[in-house]
Amino acid sequence: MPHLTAVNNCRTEPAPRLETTDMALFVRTSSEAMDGWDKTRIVEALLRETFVEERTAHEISLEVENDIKRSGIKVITAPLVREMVNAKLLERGLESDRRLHTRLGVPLFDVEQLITRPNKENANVPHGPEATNLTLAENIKKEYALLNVFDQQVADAHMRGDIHLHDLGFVDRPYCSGQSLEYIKKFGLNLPNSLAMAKPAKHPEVLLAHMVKFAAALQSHFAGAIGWDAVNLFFAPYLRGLPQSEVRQIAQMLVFEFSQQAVARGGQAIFTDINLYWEIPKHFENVPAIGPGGEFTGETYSDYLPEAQNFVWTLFDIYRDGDGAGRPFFFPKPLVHITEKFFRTPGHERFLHHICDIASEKGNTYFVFDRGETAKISECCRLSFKLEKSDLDDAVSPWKMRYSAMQNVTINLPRIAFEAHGNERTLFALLSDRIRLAVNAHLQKKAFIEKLMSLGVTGPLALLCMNRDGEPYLRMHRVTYLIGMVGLNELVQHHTGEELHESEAAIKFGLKVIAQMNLQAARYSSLHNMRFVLEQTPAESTAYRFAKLDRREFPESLHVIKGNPDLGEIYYTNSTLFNVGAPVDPIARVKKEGLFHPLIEAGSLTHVWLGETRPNPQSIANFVVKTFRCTQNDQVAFSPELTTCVTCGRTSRGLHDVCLYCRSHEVEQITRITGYFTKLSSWNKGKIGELKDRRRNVEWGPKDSPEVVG
Amino acid sequence: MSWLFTKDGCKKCDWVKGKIDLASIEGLRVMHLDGENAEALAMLAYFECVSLAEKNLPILVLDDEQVIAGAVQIKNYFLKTVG
Repeated sequence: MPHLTAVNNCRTEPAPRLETTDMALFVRTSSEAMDGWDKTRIVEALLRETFVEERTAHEISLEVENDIKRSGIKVITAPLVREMVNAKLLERGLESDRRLHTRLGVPLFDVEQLITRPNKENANVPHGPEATNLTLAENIKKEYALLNVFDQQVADAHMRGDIHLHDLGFVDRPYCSGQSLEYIKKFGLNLPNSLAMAKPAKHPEVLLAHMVKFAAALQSHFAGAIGWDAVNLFFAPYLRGLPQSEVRQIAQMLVFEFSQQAVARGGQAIFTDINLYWEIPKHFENVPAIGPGGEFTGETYSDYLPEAQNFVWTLFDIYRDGDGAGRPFFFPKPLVHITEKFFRTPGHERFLHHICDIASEKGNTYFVFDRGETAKISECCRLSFKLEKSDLDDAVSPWKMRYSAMQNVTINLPRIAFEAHGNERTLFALLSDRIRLAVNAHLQKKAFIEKLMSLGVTGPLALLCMNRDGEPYLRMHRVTYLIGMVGLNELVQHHTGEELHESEAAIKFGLKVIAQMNLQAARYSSLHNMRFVLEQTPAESTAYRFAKLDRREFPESLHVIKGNPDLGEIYYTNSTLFNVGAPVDPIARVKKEGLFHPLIEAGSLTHVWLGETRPNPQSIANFVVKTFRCTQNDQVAFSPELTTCVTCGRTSRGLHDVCLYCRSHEVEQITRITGYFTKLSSWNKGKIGELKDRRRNVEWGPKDSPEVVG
Repeated sequence: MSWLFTKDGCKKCDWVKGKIDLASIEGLRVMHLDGENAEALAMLAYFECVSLAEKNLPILVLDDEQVIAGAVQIKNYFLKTVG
């Protein structure tokens, strides 16, 4: 600690030739040095960073120096000097200059808290040194974003809780990404800044290694989920002729590699989705297949149906077994597309039964419904990229099929109802204004990312700029801009007096709100030549944040806020979902929640909470078929609850405080939080409140006695 | 009440309007789908016809929520039921 030693010496033995202040005062600077006092540093900083006149800068430096002299302080930190200067700027009415002169940082107390206590904003972030680094960096970037990326109107709207700008701590990267294995199959793993490049994989194990590494690289360049399209199909050419034991090994490696990646960014597992098909998707039927070495095999993907089907079946065998303790794998999330062609493909009944068995047993399976000619890539908690005509044309060169969402901005819907005081005209005017704000936020984020992209392969987004196929990896023309919503149920409840599940009139009013959002997003898309689309916000922490803010500012919110206010476990209902505790049977919930889904292009989901119940797989299969045929629902997931014992390693059905087998209190309770499984110990208070309210569909199947599943 | 969903610039919608005096049909509400009419889109969603409307307009939804799509079918329905 040489600098500290110097300070201690200086405190007692000031250099004789310096003027009084300089002799006694040392400044602990942000460059980790102890510098002697020099007020011209203040002048230099003001002239460098702001637009104040030189004379004003000198005056301020002198005033600050006098204040410090009067205080008798001997050691002062650079951040404190900066704040003193900022106070002088404020006294002069120079607010815009003060903003420019802001120092971003984190209070000592907060750092202590972050290091010693877990951050529960995102249940997918564990607690550890890397996670602390991540959170600290996020905090600085959040402040930066609110000061320097977004204008004050947008930033203030976020701070007030009118809207929520998601992943502000990752402001210098897009939100989510969906891509194709074909990119690394064709071009190998050749990443900017990488110390070595790899040619296209010749073996399935190597292809998997490339996939995992590329996913980690992508996680460093996107805030959220990394999705992969048609994984079983694109692996298929590498699996031909392999014995089943080796296919199983590849499947096992794939699932374990992604589920154990909690060593990547901030100790955070890569939020990975794999899109899976039983059939050959129509748009890939005649596409030349790429095989080992990145070479075309001379066959089309239709020729690989047996290998693709065997691989997806085997993947689900792995999911059924669970991890070493029999727990469900949290990642990669398997998203099975249910299409018209699915039902025309031989063996679909057996496969549906197989994946429904896993849905009942472990809850892993997500059923994604692509009706009619619809095709999409799904990822994140429910985000999907609907493929358009040009995208389907791109399918002949599938490595081009990569889609990203730039950002997600969520609107606090209940607040609009409070501010409208029952006046419908006012309510829709406020809604329009919030959407305008969301669009402005997107325009500002887009401009910022484009500025970073303009720095090319030597800039911070080198990976997104890499050009292997004639265009940058991030295809800006195919980026979507998400507008989300939280608490439609509470908006409707406050405005009409009924929750969504309570009357058809309430549903119709809720639909009108979402229709207004849909139409306005379309108008802005046309105006700006961008793709503004609605998404059901997963709102893992936003539903809690909005409720907390509204509880403080709008006392009337207490009538609609859900959860337990006495315990602080409060929340708004996610997106367009119905009250999680409402007595609505699963098929009615799927049908009625599904009415909203066609208006929400970028993804929707209905949860079926199973609790301890383990429905018959055939019941789930019937449910899935009925959902596909008789509703407009976009996606369904079935969520069991499980308890794993840390002591004996066994897993039982249901959430228990003690192990049912060895009575140990060291247990981990697991279920789905929004769109993925996690341990309850990482959930925020709002989600804990929601969990307590969830209506388990126990009447759906016989309630099994707890038993070992692993 | 029944609902007829139409759209500006939809030739088949105009054809039905030309063949049938819609204003004279009791209990029929004509909904124009455009970029401003949130209520029309909401009702279209309520009757689970959003995807259908992307490729087939006009759409008639009867009071028992039976859906009739296509100009000729709708004209025939009206001729049969209201003359």
